[in-house]
Amino acid sequence: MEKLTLILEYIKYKKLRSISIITAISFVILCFLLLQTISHAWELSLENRRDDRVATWNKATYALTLPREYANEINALPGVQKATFANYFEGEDIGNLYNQNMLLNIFAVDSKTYFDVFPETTLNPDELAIWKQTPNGVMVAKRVAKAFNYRVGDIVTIKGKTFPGTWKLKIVGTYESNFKTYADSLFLFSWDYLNSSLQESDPRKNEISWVMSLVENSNSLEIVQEIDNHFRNKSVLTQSMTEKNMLSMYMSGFIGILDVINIIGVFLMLIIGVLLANSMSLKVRERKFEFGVLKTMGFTKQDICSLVLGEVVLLSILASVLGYFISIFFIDFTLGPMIVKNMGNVFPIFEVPLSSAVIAASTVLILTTSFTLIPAYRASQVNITNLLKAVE
Amino acid sequence: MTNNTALVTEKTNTIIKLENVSKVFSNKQEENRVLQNISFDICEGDFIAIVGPSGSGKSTLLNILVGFDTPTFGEVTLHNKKISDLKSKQLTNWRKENLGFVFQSHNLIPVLSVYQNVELPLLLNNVPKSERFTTVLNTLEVVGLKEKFFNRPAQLSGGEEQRVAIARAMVHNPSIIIMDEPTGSLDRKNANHILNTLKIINQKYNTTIVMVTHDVKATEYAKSVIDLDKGSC
Ligand SMILES: Nc1ncnc2c1ncn2[C@@H]1O[C@H](COP(=O)(O)OP(=O)(O)O)[C@@H](O)[C@H]1O
Ligand SMILES: [Mg+2]
Repeated sequence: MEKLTLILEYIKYKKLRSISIITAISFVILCFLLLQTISHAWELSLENRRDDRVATWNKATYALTLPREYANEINALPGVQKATFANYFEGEDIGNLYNQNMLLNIFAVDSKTYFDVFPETTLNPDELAIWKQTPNGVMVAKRVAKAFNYRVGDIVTIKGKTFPGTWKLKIVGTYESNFKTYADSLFLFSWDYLNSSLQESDPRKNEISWVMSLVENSNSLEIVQEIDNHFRNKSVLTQSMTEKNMLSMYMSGFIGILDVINIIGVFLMLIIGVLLANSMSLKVRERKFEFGVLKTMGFTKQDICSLVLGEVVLLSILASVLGYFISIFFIDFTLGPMIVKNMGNVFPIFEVPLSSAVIAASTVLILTTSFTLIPAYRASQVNITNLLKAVE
Repeated sequence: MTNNTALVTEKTNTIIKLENVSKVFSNKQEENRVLQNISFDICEGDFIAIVGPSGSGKSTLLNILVGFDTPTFGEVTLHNKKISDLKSKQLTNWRKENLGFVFQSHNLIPVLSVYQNVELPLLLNNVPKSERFTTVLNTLEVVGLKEKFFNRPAQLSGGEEQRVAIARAMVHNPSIIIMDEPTGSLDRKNANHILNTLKIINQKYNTTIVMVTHDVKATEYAKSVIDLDKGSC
């Protein structure tokens, strides 16, 4: 009890010094948590990509399309279990003032097959059946429905950009993907409905943006080859890739940066440890008389030790709490939404994992205390015999 | 030395007993005999001044008295228990309850207020809060610093600091207060003030005081004087 009072008074006494230590540590915690958040988001993203789902698009560029029959042809290839296809549809909800500036990821998909290729989805089979029968029906991701305040039965007025015009679409159901990815943030209506509205002369008639197919897991890479081989002699060449490899390719430059950040994080931690240990050494030297005095009052070596370590522990805890709140503010509330908005397909979630916060706090605690063991030991060895002479 | 035990009549109120204590500091080249065959008892109510020139072993003796240092020969007894038989925990507990210690300077914890400094020994002895407050204030009144209880040590003069240190040394009603040159860094006027305070404490509360000093004036306040210049006593 008296030790805690003493520790608190020590921390309060040199406010500036305590504050700079706390700030420095919490900054390191922020860096560490940022790094952790990135790698966590990345792992989550990878985990939520399938090896056995293959995307196929126009080899020339994503922006060009494929003929609709390609989906059927891929579906018929050996090793392919089910193929589905979709068209990207750029548009915004103009029916609701609040939703106008929000990004809606709209796809025109083949409602008959879409969810067969995305089996990690939870939905109501009745709603699915209705969707398949409703030409302008929409299945919307639950979290999108929540954000846009959509309810089953609502008519949503979409103003198309790539496909101009006003589209009155009806929400008939919601779904939720077990994978927290882009797939869990979509607004899906029927490709047939879109296609039927296009003029025969429209070059986009009977064209699709991509095909997604579930394939045999064991030899998915060979199937990828086979798909592209299959169209080798056609006028439109394809490029296929498993979902997982697509992400890895997209992020390949990034992984190197992750390593660098990792190393920087470790260095920062070590530097903080050394700085704190140094600062505690100075403090111990400054306080050698005080420790001597405390010993005459019956403080044991362990008491003195715990006084020094206790101060570091308390500083570390304060810094961890502060660092955590700064991180939540900076990562979860500022950076996170920006990243999700701009890179949502790679980082659908960008939040500080609680487990990382716990790891950060305990790492800081372990590091700072272990670095302070030497000064603490020195403090405990303060020799009253020598102190008595020191003043003469 | 072997027959000594028969000669010593145990006084019930003996706090510290030294028997044939010698201290030799030795390194490779030479042996430095600092204390030689010192024997004396410190009893309740004593006010002892230990004098001697610089280097005569005064501080060494104080250290040995309360077990911060061990004698090369001889035996120290605290409340009839040999220090050499005590476990380190028992020794620290003894200090906690029975000892008040005042250094020449640097006595106060600068981060604590005067009140908190004086309160420390009470906290360590688990005195309840309600009692602590009045005890601390009463003790500060004895040394004449009641009105400064809220100040930090840095806001006190050297003399005031020493008086607070004395208040802290006596606040938990210890068996003995030991001081190493308590007036050593003070001017005459402040030194006299301290010495008067000590005398009052000794007379009024029967507090046992052992004080190292090389101030001749200080010895006049003590009831008995041990002169280390003579090598032994
Ligand atoms: N730890 C030690 N090691 C070696 N010599 C010491 C030690 N402590 C004290 N001495 C020596 O013992 C003698 C007495 O020192 P001290 O007790 O401090 O004297 P005083 O307090 O009377 O001035 C000095 O000669 C000093 O050098
Ligand atoms: Mg001395």
